Amino acid sequence: MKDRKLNEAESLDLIATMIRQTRDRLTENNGRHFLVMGYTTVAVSLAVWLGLTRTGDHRWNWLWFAILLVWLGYSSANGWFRAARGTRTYVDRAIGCVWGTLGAASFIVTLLALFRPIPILFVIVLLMGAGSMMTGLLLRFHPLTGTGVFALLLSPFCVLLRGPETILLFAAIFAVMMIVPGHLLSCRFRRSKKA
Amino acid sequence: MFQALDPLLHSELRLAVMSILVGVEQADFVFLRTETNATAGNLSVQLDKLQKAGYIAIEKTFKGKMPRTVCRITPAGIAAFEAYVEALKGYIDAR
Repeated sequence: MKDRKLNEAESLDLIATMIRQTRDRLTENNGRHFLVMGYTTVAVSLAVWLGLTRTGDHRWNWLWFAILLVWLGYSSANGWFRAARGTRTYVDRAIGCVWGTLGAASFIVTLLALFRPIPILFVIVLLMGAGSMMTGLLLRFHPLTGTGVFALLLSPFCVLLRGPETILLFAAIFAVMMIVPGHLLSCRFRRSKKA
Repeated sequence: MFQALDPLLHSELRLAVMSILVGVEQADFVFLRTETNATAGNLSVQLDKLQKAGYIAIEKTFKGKMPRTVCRITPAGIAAFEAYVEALKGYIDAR
């Protein structure tokens, strides 16, 4: 591309082409983030539930921190790839802020739960449901907005239920809130790349 | 009566850079060079012109030990880009 003068039609064509080309190149597979978080949470929840119901040993609860470790590792790798890409969009930043804030809040609540009796699963579902709903709105992806609202509405049941069964409800909510829209988002991403 | 087209934007490379920056929050020099397929020297000159007009802001940072030039469109740049597209529409509609 050189510093040449364009006619009016060429100018409009160039604007449309550059905007489309940049958008296509920067379209990320956001579904992957939800799949990593969703499958990790469901797997850890089932492991904790199995451990608690089979052995009755409450040390199984330490396994919850595995979710945090997986997420920290995944986010740093993802951040590195984004930095290497050389650009950042407004949506990237907004989604990063939403999940950064909610992730930090979840971590603080988890730490507090070590010292005080807090309905931790209820709070986490509430925070992650809000995050999913906001991400759905930012990406204009209605299934994700819907499953976020679904999680928010079901979150009180995590307080109403008693015993280890709460963990199963927690895992089921995460499967609907993250795994289902994660696969749908990935499908949409693959279709847009083929088109 | 046709609106005059902004001469600063009515050039292939500068218009391409502004079209990229209008859709992202920021982009570095390497990204812009890849997307526009321009030479480093030419791109550098055109970025300088856009910066002097106040259409973009350029920040020079370091990524590790490597220098990195990050460009962002300014509010004045967005306004100029919008006015340019409106003016173009006037020309096209009149045909």
